[in-house]
Amino acid sequence: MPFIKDVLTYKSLSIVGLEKNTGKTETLNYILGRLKNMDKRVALTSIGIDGESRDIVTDTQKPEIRIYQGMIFISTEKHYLQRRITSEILEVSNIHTSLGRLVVAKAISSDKVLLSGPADTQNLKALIASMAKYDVDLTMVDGALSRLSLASPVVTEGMILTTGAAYSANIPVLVRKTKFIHDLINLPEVEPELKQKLDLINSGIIAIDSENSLHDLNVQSVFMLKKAKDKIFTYGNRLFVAGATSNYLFEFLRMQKNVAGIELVVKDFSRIFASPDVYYSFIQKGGKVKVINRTKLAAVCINPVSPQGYNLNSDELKVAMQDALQIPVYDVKKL
Amino acid sequence: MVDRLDLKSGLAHRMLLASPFLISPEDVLYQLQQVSQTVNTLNLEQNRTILDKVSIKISQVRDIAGTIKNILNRLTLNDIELFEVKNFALIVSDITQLIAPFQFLSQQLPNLENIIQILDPEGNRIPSFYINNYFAPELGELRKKLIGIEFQLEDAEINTDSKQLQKQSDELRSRITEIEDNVRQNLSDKLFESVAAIDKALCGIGNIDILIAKAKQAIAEKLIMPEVGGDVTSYNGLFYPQLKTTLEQAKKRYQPIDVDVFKGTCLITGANMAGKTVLLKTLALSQAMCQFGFFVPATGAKIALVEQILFSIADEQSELSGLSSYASEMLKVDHIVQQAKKQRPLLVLIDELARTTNPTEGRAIVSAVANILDGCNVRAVITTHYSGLSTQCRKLRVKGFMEKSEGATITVKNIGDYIDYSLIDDDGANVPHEALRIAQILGVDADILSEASKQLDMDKDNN
Repeated sequence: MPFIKDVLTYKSLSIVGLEKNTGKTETLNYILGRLKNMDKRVALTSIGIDGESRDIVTDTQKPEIRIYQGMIFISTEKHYLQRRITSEILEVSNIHTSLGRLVVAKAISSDKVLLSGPADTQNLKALIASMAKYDVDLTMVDGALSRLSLASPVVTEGMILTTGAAYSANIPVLVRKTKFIHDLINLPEVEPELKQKLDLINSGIIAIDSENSLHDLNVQSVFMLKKAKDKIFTYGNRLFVAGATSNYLFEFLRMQKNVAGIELVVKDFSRIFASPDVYYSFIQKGGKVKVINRTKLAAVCINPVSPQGYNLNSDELKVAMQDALQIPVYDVKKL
Repeated sequence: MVDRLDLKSGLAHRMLLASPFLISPEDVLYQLQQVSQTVNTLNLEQNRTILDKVSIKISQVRDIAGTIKNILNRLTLNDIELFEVKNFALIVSDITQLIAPFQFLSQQLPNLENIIQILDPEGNRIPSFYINNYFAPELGELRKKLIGIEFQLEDAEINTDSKQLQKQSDELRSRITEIEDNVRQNLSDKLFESVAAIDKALCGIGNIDILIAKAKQAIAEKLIMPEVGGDVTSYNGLFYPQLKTTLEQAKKRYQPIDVDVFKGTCLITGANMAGKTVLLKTLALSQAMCQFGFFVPATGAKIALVEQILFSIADEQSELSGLSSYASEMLKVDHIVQQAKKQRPLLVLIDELARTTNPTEGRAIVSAVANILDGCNVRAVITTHYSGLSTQCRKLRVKGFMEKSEGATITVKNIGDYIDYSLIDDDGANVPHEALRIAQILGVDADILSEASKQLDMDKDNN
């Protein structure tokens, strides 16, 4: 089980699906099933709500998350009271969600549960850190990559990506799209001094000069950039965008004369919502992108089956993916 | 001052906001003595360490008022609520141990050991909760059986056997749920018997939190315990804490004031920027703090208790209700006079009465209100710029510019250093006319000043 050995080298790990039905829950269940017999204490949480028995978006069958005896899990008050599992409340936290406060509990029996978690990055970070007091060896976060989600899964040390036929039913396209995310995850981090300063900023566009001093450009969103065109590069070629970055921004930067010197800094890779073409053409013209928070891609899991009924050739997909990414790739159905 | 309190729990905040304005001397004295005992306790190094630990524990307390209400209404508590009660009882028990040496604090907390026994039959005193075998011995057996069946179900193919197993599993689950619900019901009933103690403990924790916060504030801001119950209100070295801190931070002078507030009316005159409004605010603050059981900002204080503090301060114009600033002030003064006429003991503070109307009538209004209030059972302080008032009530004046200010370069920034804020009896002869001088210091247009001076001279000549 080389996969599990890798997993255990992390203190915290998020599992993120590139699309619904790419096998995220199956991967999670597999890992939990393997970890139950090891002498490791595992905690589980999620971004927002997860573990519904049916997928609300596509209305397809979705495997529930199975928790084993001794594992710690986080749920909201409402979901906790609906649970089937026998479990012991360890803490009712001060973090509020739309479904009540978060409850930290330890599983006494083994059963399926509804996982929930904090809806924003700060609280998620604090929650993961607080797991230390329960001697947790590994905290797993059921994550999501979404414009809609305030919380970013990039608070964990490592990340497992799940991808598959649901993301694209054409192997070369699927590999290319996954490679794109892989490239984003591997973006370099800014130097620690700058990281500390920028981590506290949650909105706006900031120019960074050569002395690492910050200058707020008073532009609230990238769509207002045109208005501030004249002053954008008065402090140098480095820009920090706190929120989401779109095609619009990358295209705008690519068209500047000084594109080869431009360095764009974003919170983490999940804040980049540009399409691969636009992103790569910015990079090809010499533009650079850095992140404040970086995570390590631990593995990629593929689900060759899509809810629409496509069934890709698992081996072919696996080899193609492994060649492109140079990291371990596993088929969730064969785990 | 409430915002500047270092409260550890939301519970204390809720209780403090709901606390009453104390009128009886016994109540005020009791509260003040509690604060005083806490201050004395905190002044010893080793006690401070203990109370710091208590504060940390208090910060872990959750306000379980909602759960208490559910117990009182005889609702069955769910696991989360049971956890909260258990957790609360354990924290109270820890705090009780910590504050055992301080009897005045420990008497506020009832013993919750029986609650802990109810919710922690194992007696391992860990703040976690689930319905385990100690609550219902048969649960262990049933749960084990269920795990066995579930285990078989996982590997079983779908056939009649598995259907049989599924049925067994469902039956077991509902049996377990039933037992668990009984336990919850049973526990809720037991808690109902002790609900008074839980409620008392919750109030006690809130009180201790408030006391420690009040005492810490008293020490940090150099507040003192006033003498209450007498018929005299008299302050030595009265100060306005926020202003004092701000000025001290800016390395500027702050001058505390000695002032007596007798029964009847007291008129205060003085130049602009002489601290009249601050004086009124300080009097109100100090009176309120005392009657909410806080120490007061002075070096010495005797405070006569009042039923209510009535305050009229400038700039409460409300265009929306169609009232000019004069009209709304008059309505407020009317309310004050109505209350005063009932012979209630009040503290009345009016800032620059009738300042927004013409001086002739304004002067008459000030005299009238001063005279009426002088005959009531109130302590009234009224500030005004009008001079030559006919009323016979007591008059005080802010000293104003110091001798040394002659010839010194005074600017807006250092003006505070050249004003003597202390109060002296006003004999009426020496009316301060320093408005122009202050305007000059503020740097207003020279034409205004010269023109105004000309006007003054003309008036003098006409007289």
